[in-house]
Amino acid sequence: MPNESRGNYFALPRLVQKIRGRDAIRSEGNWVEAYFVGSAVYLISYLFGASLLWPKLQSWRVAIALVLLVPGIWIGWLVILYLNSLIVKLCWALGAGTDLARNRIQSVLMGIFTTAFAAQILTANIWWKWVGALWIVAVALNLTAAFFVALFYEERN
Amino acid sequence: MGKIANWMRRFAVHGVFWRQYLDWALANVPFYFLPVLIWFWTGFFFFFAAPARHAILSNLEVILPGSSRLTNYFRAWVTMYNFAWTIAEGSHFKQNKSHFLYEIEGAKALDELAAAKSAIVLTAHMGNYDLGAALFAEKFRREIRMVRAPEPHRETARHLAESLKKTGAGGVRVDYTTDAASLSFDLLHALRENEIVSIQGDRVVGDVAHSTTQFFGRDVPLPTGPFILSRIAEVSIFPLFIVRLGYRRYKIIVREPIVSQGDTTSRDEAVAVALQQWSVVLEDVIKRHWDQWYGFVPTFSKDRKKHA
Repeated sequence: MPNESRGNYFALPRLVQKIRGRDAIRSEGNWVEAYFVGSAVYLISYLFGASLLWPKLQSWRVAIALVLLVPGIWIGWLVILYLNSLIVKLCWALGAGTDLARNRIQSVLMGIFTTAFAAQILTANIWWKWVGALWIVAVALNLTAAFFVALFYEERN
Repeated sequence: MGKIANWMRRFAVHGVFWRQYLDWALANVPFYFLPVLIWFWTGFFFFFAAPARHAILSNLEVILPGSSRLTNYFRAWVTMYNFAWTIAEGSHFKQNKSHFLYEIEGAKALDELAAAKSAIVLTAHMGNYDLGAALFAEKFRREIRMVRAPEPHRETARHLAESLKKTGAGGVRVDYTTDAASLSFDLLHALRENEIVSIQGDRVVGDVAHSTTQFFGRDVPLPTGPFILSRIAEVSIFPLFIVRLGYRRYKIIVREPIVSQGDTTSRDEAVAVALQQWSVVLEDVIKRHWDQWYGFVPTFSKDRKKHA
């Protein structure tokens, strides 16, 4: 068991490392990614929920709804993750993605959901829509990086 | 009715449902979403695991005297948050043999332990002791016998035993303190067969042998079994703790061995001296890592036995 930390999960930091001539393996051991991306997913989901409630409620009701939305989004994600696990089972039963781990497929599904939420925020015309835009830009950059990594570099796990 | 009640026990705080859910989550949830889930689940258990919360609060009042109730509530939350991370990362290691970083404090003592023919590792309900035993077994290719208090729920106990078996990949064997008398003979035999025995020495559970010693300025009963065993088997006791430093990062703390041997004093005197040495070590480590002491029993309170 080598006692050193290296690697990134997302393609964008891996591409940056490769361009800088460094070794970049795919890993789930990066604490910045672990804490930052999960928080971003949660923030986008929360803002998506808030953007749905914001125009419909007034004054103190908004405040209460926004507080209740904090655990509400958590519970919502628990349900989505469970439903996604059924989709994963279905994919495997149909012979799709059998070489991928369950949480890798869940990661793709979570990315799709979060990007859809971000797109909704972007169209909601509320002051926090820039957060949605930022997420979409980040996803686009990461997908582009994944393309270049797959094209020019040999992948290692 | 009994069947329904039995089934409902799966959802109690110590129930097997939560262990199974954790295994499911680690297989299904992307690693970057785990911190979010752990944060919320900590909030859930902070609210519903009231006895554990009260125990942490009562322990903190003694460990960090003079703090406000509100500050200790926050610290209790931090302790539960660390515990959640600890069991999550332990399960992750079990399922995926994930990569963990560790540093060592007391490398000389650790080498001494690894080189010892047989020894007793004395630890506490602190940090990730399951992962620590597995890392040790893997790093030094030594088999460890871990002694644990039995889980209150049968299914949880079975699940945990299977988990530990997987974590240690054959290097860790678990014994329970359900029958203290026969266990003592088993452990003595294991020590004489050149094995390493790991015991948690920060809590008296059931009818295990114990004696009162000074701990954080209070008279607290601590188990004496490890010291009696060490004297009979003529092996050293190595205090060892594994504390969590951050995301998949740990520190293994090993202290100088406690030797509970010698012919000049009586057994009781020697055990009392060794127990006091252990309490000093334990006190020092808990002072530094109060947020990772998972003795969810009010150690300093009179009704500790009821909770244990």
